[in-house]
Amino acid sequence: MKSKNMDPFFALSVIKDVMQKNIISTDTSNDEVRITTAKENLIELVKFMKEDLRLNFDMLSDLFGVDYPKSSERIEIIYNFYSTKNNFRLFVKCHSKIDETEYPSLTSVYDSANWFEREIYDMFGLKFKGHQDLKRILNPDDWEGHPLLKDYPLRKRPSVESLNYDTPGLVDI
Amino acid sequence: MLEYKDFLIDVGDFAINIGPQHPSTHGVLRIFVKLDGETVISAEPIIGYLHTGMEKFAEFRTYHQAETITDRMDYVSGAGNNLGYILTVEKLCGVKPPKKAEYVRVILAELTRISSHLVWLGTHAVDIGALTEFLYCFRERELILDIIETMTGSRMTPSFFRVGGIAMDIHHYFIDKIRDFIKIFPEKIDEYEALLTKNKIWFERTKNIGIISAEDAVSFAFTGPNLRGSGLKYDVRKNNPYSSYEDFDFDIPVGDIGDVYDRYLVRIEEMRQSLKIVSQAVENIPEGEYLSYDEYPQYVIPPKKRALTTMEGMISLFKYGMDGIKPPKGEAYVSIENPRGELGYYIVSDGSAFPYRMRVRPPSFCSISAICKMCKGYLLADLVSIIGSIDFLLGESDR
Repeated sequence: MKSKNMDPFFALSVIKDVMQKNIISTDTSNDEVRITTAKENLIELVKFMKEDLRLNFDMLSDLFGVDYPKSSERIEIIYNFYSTKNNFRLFVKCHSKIDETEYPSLTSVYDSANWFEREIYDMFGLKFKGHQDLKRILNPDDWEGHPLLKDYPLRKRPSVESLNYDTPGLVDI
Repeated sequence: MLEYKDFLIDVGDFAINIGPQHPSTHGVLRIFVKLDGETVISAEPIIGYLHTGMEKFAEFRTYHQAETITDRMDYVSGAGNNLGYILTVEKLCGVKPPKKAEYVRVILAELTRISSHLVWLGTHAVDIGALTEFLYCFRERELILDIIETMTGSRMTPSFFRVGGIAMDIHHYFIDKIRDFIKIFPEKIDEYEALLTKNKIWFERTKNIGIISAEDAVSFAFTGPNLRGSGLKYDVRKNNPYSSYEDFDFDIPVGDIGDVYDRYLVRIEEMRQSLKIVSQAVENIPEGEYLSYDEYPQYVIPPKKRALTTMEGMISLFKYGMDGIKPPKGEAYVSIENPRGELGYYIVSDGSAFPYRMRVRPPSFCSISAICKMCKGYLLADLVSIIGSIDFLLGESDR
């Protein structure tokens, strides 16, 4: 039996009370709470969520991107926050272009953001402002392209030429 | 006359590279270590040598094809990975499996947890120098894999769960084998402990080594036994029960200061608790259907017998295989307690037969990222025991 405080909807109401201006929209389908915010307000919102004693989101459990090539800000970054004290989970969404230069990094707030942001850079090519060590993490350092973008083909591999480091590119298998 | 100190050369910091191919790195982890004498100044883990693009693959597979990808990520605890994925798809579709299927899922997930912890214990002990432990652990792991093979037909990558249930009904060989295993296993755990727990060498190598505080562990998004070793009682099975875990009575062991020894004790106790869950589940398996095909015919595969004897069943099976299932548009996240920590799946569905995006929250990824923090100031030899104690798997971390 969940008490009222254990409910992510309680967290949503607290955030709505204090941070209404930072919220663009909310989505509560599938019993999960997802808040959409703008990248300019992200740090302020996250710091509030971490420090407010009613919320206390002390863990950045996951951080990943989804690519929507048809929209103008095509990368959707989803933050998965969890509060180990209050036992609820909340998702924050934030949209960005790939070549965005002002996208804030959360490495100063959560340690786990370091590698997650490197993974997003690796897979989507988004550069985080303020990240100290932004380099590829899963793919090799000299890899071409960003694999989880929807326009990156599945059935392709680096050409023989690219292994010679002369004319890098992708060919059909 | 020359003295001893005249022979010493100040070389400053010394950088060495461990791995990617090294027995103590459990796979293909590379660690770039800077040393001052024998003391670690900094250690930078470098991953990606096992990256196979599983998340990209899943976008080109139907929902039930993608299940087979999941157990190849964490190949030591395949059933657990399948469970997380299937629960997420079920949440997307709004399907509820029958109670019997949930119990079988719990049994398989807990058996794989024990077998995964046995692999961890064996290899961790070999790293530190206790070879006998490895042979003991793999002896019992074989029994567990045998049980899983009896039920699912596969030892390590079962892919046995289906949306809305399990692939086939259980039979009595499975139950009998588990009952035999439950009888012998408790004394085997005592056997493992007799070799290590009060061993002075083990004590010296693990006590007060690789300490990580609960605050740091949470900030690095540690979950599972690593986080509980630091004293924080967080277990998805208790905090957000899934798949009927609320029916079972079990304890969550927690450590004290978060050193290698604490994490060892937590995992040993977890094996006992898992066995307790398995024995409760086996004795209380409910009767009834193993697939909820009648309630949700558009999402659930028909039981084999009905597919082969009735026309509607045959058509459903054909459509399930050819078209796949099409969950409604939406997003869902489910996390489960895997042996290595909280394994989460976030699936975005666009209403088609393929997942638009499948994100796996890898517990090992987070624990490896904290190696730099945990190793600082310890000896190079301690690095090996720290790596062993956090029990990661590169297949899952690199995906």
